[in-house]
Amino acid sequence: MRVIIAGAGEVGRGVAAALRQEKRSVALIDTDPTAINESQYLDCLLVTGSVLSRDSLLRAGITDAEMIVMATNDDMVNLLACSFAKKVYSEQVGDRNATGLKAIARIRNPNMEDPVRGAGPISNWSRADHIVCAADEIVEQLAAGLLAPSIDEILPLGDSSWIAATEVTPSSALIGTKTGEVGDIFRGMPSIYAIRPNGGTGRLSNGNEVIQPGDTLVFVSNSTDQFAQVTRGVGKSDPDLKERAQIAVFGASQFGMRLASYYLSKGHNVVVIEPDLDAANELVGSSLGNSKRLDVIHGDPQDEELLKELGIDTHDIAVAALNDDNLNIAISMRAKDKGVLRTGLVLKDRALVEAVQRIGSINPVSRRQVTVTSILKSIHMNVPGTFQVIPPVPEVISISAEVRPDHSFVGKEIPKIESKLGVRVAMVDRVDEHGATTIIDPISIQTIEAGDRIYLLLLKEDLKKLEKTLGS
Amino acid sequence: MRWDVVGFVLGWTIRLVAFPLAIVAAYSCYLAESEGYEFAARTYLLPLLIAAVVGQGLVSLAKGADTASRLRDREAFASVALGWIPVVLVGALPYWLGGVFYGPFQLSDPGVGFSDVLLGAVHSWFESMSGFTTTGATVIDPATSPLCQAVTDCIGSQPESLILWRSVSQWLGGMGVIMLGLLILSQALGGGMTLARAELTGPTLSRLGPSLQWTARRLWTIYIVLTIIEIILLRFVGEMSLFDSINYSLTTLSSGGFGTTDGGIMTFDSAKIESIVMVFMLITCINFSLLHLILAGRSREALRDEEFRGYILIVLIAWLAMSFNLLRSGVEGEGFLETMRHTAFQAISISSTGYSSADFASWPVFSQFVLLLLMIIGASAGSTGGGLKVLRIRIAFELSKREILRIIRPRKVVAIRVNGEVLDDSRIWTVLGMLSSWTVLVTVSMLALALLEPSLEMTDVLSISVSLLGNTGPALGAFGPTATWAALSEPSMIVASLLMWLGRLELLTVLVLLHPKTWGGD
Repeated sequence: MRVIIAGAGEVGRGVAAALRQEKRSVALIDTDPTAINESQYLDCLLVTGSVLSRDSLLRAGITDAEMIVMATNDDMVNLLACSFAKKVYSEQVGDRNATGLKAIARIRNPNMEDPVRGAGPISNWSRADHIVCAADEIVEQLAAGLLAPSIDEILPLGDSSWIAATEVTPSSALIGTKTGEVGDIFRGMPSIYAIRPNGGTGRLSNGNEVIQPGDTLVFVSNSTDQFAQVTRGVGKSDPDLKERAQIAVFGASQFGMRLASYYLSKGHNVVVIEPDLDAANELVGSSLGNSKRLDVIHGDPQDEELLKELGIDTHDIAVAALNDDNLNIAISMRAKDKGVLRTGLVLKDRALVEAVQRIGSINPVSRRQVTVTSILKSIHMNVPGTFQVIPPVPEVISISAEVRPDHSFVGKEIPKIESKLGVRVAMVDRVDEHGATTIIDPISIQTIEAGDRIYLLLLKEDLKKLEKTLGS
Repeated sequence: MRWDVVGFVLGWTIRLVAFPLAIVAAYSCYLAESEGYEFAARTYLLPLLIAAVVGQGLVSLAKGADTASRLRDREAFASVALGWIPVVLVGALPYWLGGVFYGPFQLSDPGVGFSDVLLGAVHSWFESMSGFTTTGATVIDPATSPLCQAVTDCIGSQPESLILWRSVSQWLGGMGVIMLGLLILSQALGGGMTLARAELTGPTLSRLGPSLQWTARRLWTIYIVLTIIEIILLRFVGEMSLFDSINYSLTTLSSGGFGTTDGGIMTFDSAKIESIVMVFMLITCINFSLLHLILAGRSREALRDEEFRGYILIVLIAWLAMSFNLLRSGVEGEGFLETMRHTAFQAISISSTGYSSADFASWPVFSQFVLLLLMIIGASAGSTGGGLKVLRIRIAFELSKREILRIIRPRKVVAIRVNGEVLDDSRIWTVLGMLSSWTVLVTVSMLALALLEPSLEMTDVLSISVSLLGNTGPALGAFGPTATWAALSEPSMIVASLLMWLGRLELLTVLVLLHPKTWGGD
């Protein structure tokens, strides 16, 4: 399968690298020769040119492509190019109604998808098969991480499930228990799907491993409510978030506004500190500004007097969401110093996330990383493949795949599939007779049905074998 | 200042007054027994000629010039503000020539001197200004009118065509003579939005349709249709005479308040008539854009309008407060229902129309104070009503709330919203400018009136100033609903007419004229 990616920025390159790891054929198109030059390390076809040029698309091999990902910095170009690429593809294959090419458009401005104030639903008119706008996912991932800051890594799995990876402390009550018995002994505790023993390599859990201090456990939970059990279970503690918590958001950026909106929708009080008066006014003037629980303050987030005036130490959560990575790091560290228990920040640069994580106690989310993951997720809506890498247990990955009617899985019991493929089925999405998708815990169903979307955890080295089985 | 452009707009405005004046003149001819051709010629020929000749002359000034592209804000504001002067002058002539006040044709009467004729000119000017500005304050009184020396009903004894002209002048002024002109001017001058901004009352001006001409036509259609509906209701449900129903409809829809008799609405003492008038008074106090929305089937949107809700709430509170006060003090001496009826009528009327169903000057101080507040607040922006407008009061209230909050949290960003939309600073400053100008003008006019009329009391001076600037009509104290304004001296009448002019054009349009930069340069 060939995937063409338009835009050789950090997102485009991130998607390309992930797809190359899956041994897929990738072509990168960008108008900027420097960006193309910087992509040389990727083993893929590089084309200098515009995605809105027939010649560039032909050079990138659109005739053989199954998918094209529009990840330039311009939302308009991304949307327009979907239609253009499909047109070129149908010309080349000589079929006006050709459906062989799937188009994914990444948009940065979430307001575009609004059906009233924007142009949504965009996929209805743009000929894009999937629209990726990671804004909401960034906010949800950050908010989920801040719910349980002592969990090392919280990653989304599907639409409302989470992968939580965390280390077992010496005071953990789980020590000495077998991984498969955790759910029976500790009520409400989500199941353990993978483990990395202290000093060892990560592997899928078979239920018989005895938990020891220093082990890293990978849980899959279908709700953020289970984070508290995980935290307590591994011997850590996060104070409960108050029902009406005080949230400080630094920056009325696109993400700052969405974070404010998220926390207001959860019933919390939010104060947004924005250095630019126009941006502050824009937030106050938006529909969000109507909320009585929102305060917008115009001032320098680094101003000590302002922080004192706001009583930043009395806040339960502080998030830095300005457009400057360094400033965000400085602000979140200062908030931490002032005594805010949960601090988070939005970063552009993926490389900085690891650095910040090493500092500890601060929850960073990379906008680009989440966007890359979202694009990969969209790609894998059609083709099974890597869905998520779990950084604390890098040997284990998660993938998702749709079960086609002719597939050998149909009608099979989950334990049989797991033992045959050497995977763990973490979650199943099933469409009911009304067309609504429900997320089902694999323990509660007997067999896999046609049309189910399954989320699997597996060892990275088994990916190829699995892809073969899944018919990729 | 580009005088040819100003002249062009003024010319059109004056020419347009000729048309309704000609209709009234024709009605005068029709009334062969009481008026007839001779009276009509004497009364209406001169103003008609002036309107036609001067109007045509001014329009021809701009002939050949590229008028459309040369109209700037300053010309628009100047021509709108100045336009009222020739219109009021032309409109005053029939009163002067027709004998409502002492005019040139009364010079031959015994005991009438040249000075009486001059004073008659001032009275005519006041009456005309009161009409076109929809104030509804009258100086037709035995002391000023030669026609009512030995009659009990002074206004009722005036020539019918002139009473009709009074009402027509209010009806024209209600929507704005110049707004009527926009129908034609928007074609002659292209856009015409600048003119509309200067003319339309209220802080908001939203186009209802694709063009200003369409908007103007739509507003006038609503205005005319409502007038016709009220005429029919007053005639057949209220059992008024056709003449009265036409006059009261013309003056209700314009929120003017002129009546056909000294007692006005009070003369009929009819709950049916008062109810009909009340409904239409209420309609005129609503932004006409909302009426358009209702007619377009978007009534839910219209009912959500914050200013509309605010206005209704204010009227309701005032009504209940006054009713409680009157019932408790027992001043009205009438039953519960009667009291409720009069207070409801007054609460709606005082916003701008100025009709009265009872002599509120004799009500307890609390109720009078409520009426004074209603006078100050006025109606909604974009209505024919006057006053400071509910929207401005609301904005001012929100602004003071914001400033108080800023003392506690200096760096908090607070937006002022109307109907969910954030007001930008320029609009807030315009409202503040208007409110401060209003405060200064009330103070200055109170000082001037107190100086010119030593016999007046504080209540009189304050309520007169507020009533004139809000284009209400009746005031409190000695200038209550049963009294005329003839008690004022002539210099005071000139001051008063200036205040009405300022009030009708929302102060700033007229005050623009006082700035030297308006007149300077090209």
